[in-house]
Amino acid sequence: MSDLEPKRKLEHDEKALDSSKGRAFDASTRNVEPAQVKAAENANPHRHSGSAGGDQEHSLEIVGFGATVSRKTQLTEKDLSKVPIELETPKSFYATESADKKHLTLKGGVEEVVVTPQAILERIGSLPLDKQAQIVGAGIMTFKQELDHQEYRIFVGAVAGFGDAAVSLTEGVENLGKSVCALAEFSRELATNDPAALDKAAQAKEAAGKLFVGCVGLFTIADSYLGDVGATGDYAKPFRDIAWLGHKIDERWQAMSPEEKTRVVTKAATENLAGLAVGLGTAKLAKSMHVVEALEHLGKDASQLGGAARAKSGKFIESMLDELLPQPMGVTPDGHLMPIPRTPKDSFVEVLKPKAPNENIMLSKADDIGDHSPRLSDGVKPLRDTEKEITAALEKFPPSELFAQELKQVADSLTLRQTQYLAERGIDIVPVRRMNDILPETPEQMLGAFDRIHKKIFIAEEVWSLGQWRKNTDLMFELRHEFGHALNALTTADGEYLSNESLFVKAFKEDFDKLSQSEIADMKLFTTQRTTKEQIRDEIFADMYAHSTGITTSNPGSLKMKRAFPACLRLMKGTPQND
Amino acid sequence: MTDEKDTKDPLDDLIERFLDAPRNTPEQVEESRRNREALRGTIRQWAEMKEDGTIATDISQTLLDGTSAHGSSSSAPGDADYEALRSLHKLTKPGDDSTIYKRLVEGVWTVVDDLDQQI
Repeated sequence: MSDLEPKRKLEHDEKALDSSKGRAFDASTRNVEPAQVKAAENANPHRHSGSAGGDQEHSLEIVGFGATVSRKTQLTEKDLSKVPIELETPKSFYATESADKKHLTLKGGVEEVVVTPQAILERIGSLPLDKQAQIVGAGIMTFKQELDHQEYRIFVGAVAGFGDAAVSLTEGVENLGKSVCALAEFSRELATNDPAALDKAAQAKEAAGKLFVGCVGLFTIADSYLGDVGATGDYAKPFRDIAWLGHKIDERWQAMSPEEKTRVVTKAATENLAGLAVGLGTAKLAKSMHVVEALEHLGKDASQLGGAARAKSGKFIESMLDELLPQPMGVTPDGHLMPIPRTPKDSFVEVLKPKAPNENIMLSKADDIGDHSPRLSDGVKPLRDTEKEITAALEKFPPSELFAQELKQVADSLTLRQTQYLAERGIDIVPVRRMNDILPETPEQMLGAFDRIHKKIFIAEEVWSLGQWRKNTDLMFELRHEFGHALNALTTADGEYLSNESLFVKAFKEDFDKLSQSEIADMKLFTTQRTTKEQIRDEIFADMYAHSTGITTSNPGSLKMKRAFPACLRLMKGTPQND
Repeated sequence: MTDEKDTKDPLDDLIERFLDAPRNTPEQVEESRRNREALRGTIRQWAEMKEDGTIATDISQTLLDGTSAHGSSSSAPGDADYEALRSLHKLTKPGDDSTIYKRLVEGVWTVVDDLDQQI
């Protein structure tokens, strides 16, 4: 709010002083004692503090509707509800006589109590937290169980001090009830992994935005209720769900890097707030530790603004929650529970990746790469540089527990010797949500990776396929494929890859020589370039090792390689040529 | 001897066969290392149009730090990346397939004719 502070010293004030005839110093006087300055000021007959009533905070007051507003006494819509009561004075009705005294004019007015939905929220938000909890808790129960809405309106009117006669109370209380109920139900469904949460996410975000700019800090109310009343209270269950959601939002926020937080806030502010962003202090929001509390506070600040600005602030909060809400879970056709992506590409890494038009540019256009990510093009190091950063990335984008268990079962299906081999070389099998969570420079189709430096086999839970993130259904084969890469790279003492040893090179050549020109052209697997052959041999070694274990795959590319490299497969199996 | 071979774990057997065979000379090992260095930041991407028009892809990648990654996926007509894939791999009818190479150039995966082509 400091930007909105009035300037204490105005230019024209200084000019006025310069021209004052009552000034105590002449133009030649430059160095005087403070006491002389004070004496001169006191001698000024036009001395004024600058404030109408001596207190600058009250220098500008707006009087009307039965209330007086100044910088010190900010009022909002909730305060206007008092107006009809205060205006019902004898002066509301009066008579005037015409000049010729032949006519008498009677003037009066009809007052109707109008309480806007915003005023209701603000009034509730100004109540003590225990009273807010009563209203919110009763609202959840009423709207969830379809109880008597009129009874609830009367209850809200009584607790909030509106009385039960206000006709316009209906809409506001209905909105309040629906909003708190929507958020409570969404929280419960998320907490219990109910896929229905997906359909209610938008409604819940909108509800939170409206409640926040109405000064109703639902998460604070829930925390307060649970802290004061505990698990025995009538509304303990819905408030526990809401509090859980608040903590999850904070957790997700705290897991973000400062860079990422800034991106989230900036994006939401740019799309929704425009010029309002500075006044609402969104820059400060990006630095806050507890985003839920910060958003509630921002909502409270926004409630002082006009209707349009409030609506924008509500949208801003919705956008923030869009990024921060936990991911709803869904059941795949084969019965597995997995996170349902909110958007096809929602990780920080993916946002920073080059956009599609630049992703596959031809070499001839390499210089004309347009507005690709500065992060990738400016030589900044990728996300994962060290063991610590891998851990941080995995904590930031964790795979589901279900997937971790599933991968453990797949790892348990390795032979004892394979398990020993991994242990002897200190190789870990690590489940990841998506491969490019930890390897920013990988395409989203990647199923697995072998990191030779950190000795880790990463297996992805989700892979981008058929237009969306899908569960990786090739775990058994993929783990053995990556095991093949590890075996290839880490077996010899001198660091030579087995796929470069004469035994494998010979088998590779045998298969290559039998391939037709059309196969070579179609697959473009084999060129005369040595680096290409190097890579192909490494890949075929890993793939043929996986095939040699007897595990099948649905990957057509891998099946094609299996048909094209029978000698390599035999070598891996240790079987004679006629087998 | 036969009994010993029968009871030997396939993995031990495989490793033994490789290590018992004539090994590469130190010069060859060094050349392999140089070749692997040259592979860093490269992708081999294979794609094939299936009978139903779906494009299947298979990708092998060597990252800048030497990590090797592998993946596969499908893209159906109407998917966001379908037209880009079809055009990139010049797939016009079912059965068509092709392989392209990419190299990481200043942070951008750039299609190259072959991986020996230095940028």
